Amino acid sequence: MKRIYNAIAIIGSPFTTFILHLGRITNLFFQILLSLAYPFKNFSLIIKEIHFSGVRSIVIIAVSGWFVGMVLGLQGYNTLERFGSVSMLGSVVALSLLRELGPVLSAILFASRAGSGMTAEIGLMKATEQIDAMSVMAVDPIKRIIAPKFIGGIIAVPILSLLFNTAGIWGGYFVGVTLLHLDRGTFWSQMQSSVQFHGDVMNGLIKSFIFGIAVTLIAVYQGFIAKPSALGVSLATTNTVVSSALTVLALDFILTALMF
Amino acid sequence: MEKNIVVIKNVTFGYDEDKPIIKNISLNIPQGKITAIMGGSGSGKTTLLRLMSGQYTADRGSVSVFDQNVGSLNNREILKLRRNLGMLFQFGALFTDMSVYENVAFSLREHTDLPQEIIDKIVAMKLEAVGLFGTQNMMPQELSGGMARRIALARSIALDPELMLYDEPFTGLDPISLNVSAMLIKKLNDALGQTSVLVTHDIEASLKIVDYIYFMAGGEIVASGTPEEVQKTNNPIVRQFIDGKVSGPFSFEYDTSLDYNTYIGLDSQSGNLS
Amino acid sequence: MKRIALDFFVGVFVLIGIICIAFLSLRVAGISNFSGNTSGTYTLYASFNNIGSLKIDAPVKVSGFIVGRVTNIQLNPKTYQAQIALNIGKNYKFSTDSSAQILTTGLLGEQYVGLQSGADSQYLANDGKISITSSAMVLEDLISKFMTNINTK
Repeated sequence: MKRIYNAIAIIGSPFTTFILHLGRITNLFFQILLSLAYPFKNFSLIIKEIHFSGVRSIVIIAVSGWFVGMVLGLQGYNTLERFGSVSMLGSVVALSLLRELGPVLSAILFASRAGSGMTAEIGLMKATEQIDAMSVMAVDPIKRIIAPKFIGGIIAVPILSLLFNTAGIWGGYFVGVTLLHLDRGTFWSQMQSSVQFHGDVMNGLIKSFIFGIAVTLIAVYQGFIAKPSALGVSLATTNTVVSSALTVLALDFILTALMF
Repeated sequence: MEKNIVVIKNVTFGYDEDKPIIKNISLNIPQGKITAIMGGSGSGKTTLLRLMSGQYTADRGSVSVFDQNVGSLNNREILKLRRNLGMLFQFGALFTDMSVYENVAFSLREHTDLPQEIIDKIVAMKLEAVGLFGTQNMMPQELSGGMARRIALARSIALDPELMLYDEPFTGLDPISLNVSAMLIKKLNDALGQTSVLVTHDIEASLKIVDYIYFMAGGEIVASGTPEEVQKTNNPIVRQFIDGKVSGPFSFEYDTSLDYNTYIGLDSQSGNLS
Repeated sequence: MKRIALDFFVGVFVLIGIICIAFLSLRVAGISNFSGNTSGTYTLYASFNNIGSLKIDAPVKVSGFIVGRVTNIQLNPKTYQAQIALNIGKNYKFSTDSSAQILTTGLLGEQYVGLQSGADSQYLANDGKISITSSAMVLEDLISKFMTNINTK
């Protein structure tokens, strides 16, 4: 009998752990919301965080966007050629990027670069007792360290998503028009007639905003609960990247179903 | 009648409720004096310090600091209490993304509205007190361990707190830095009229500067007294600690139910491997 | 990092964001192509027997030029006709005998509403109704017509 209980416990424990984490992360989220006044009074903290997570990610996002756009151009061309609809290439590239690839990929890349960086920073501060020292000096670490990082993240992610899309569309243009000699005018005009501002651009932006909240929240949470040791911080950063990727993909499905 | 800044009464605490680290401890920290809490590793001394700063709440009993029960304070009251409290962490815990100046000025900037020039002067004074005036623009990564700890000390006295808690301030220091730190703690305590609690296992330095000592072992207080009393004591636990004896009530072997000889296969009669 | 440099780079970052959204709105979504209407819009209604695959936000074109968008599609419960609302730019006027057709872009593309102004001297006002309508061509009907034609030959 005991064996069966043990088996159930082993199978069930990831679920209960997951729910436990879900509760704690929601708790942290509300604590951050309550502390938002402080960082806005010390705006320089937020500026610093936008720089570390946003500005430093510009290159990776732009280059990735460009490559993804190029691949879309190539693959799109190959497939559309079979149906004689190569003129739709502009639409295919733009819609794929704006609706899905832009928000999703830029969020996941952000998590890998900036998110894991945030986790490592917070985890390290925890391991070297800096968080405790701050608490004992009567300054709430959530207000001073975590909230600014959170705000920096949710500002940076949508902007990076826009950059990704822009780079991607130009990448698609480069492949379609410059390399594969599609007509320039057709490329843009077909795109314009199929892309809608509210339906596609805005929805994509809303998606990236929501992804930004999720990814940044996961990053600061993992740093906050990391075990104060080298191994602990390393595990935490891995968790950030993995959880962020899975969460973004799951949210993407839900949002796509709601929006499109 | 001497006032007690910290009064700990019948406190029991453990990270896990079934495994208490602190078992029914009572002690007082008198005002203006330096009190040491000594004991082996894992005896619970750092945990006791954290109970005093309010970082943990006792499972049973009361911890009162400045006549306030720390366990029952809400967040805002705890923050207010902590402005009068300075804590020095084992390795300094300086904020690595800020310069020395910004570290020392941290409390001043967060809790006061003093203008830049005055903060500059106060930072200079605190650094001078620890003998490190001139390091304002350095970053924590550039400092040696001893220097980092002294800067952390300057940081924790920025608001001239009445109560200072030191967590293993002497660990890992060379003999000179050790003495410098010890003298510094004494000087600050007397000059600023502070009450200091020192958690340490360094005998020499403590006996020189401390007014009273509590010995902890296994989560309980096993002995206490002034430095003179402690040096002359017959209490075997204290004796072993002070003299650094290898054998005695403190065992340095790990407590296990396995029997070494049986494990190795040693024949208990002849002493040969069977 | 010096404070000024930080501010500068973050400013550049936000500027990049603004440029991107401008690019995406104007070049990609073609937002200026329609409704740069400074004069506002008005609504006209038209009923069809069959609207085919016409969707909300489909363009309304005159001679191939976009003058408005479809804003609402509803079923009239009495006549069982599809009633659509067209949002037209105020500077485009249509006579009371104008006609509306549901046309297809290319052969199999998306459908849109084509308007043709008539000869009447009076113009349709806001909430006016276009009475002459021509339903969408449904491929199946065409094919069955074609099949019956072949059979009768």
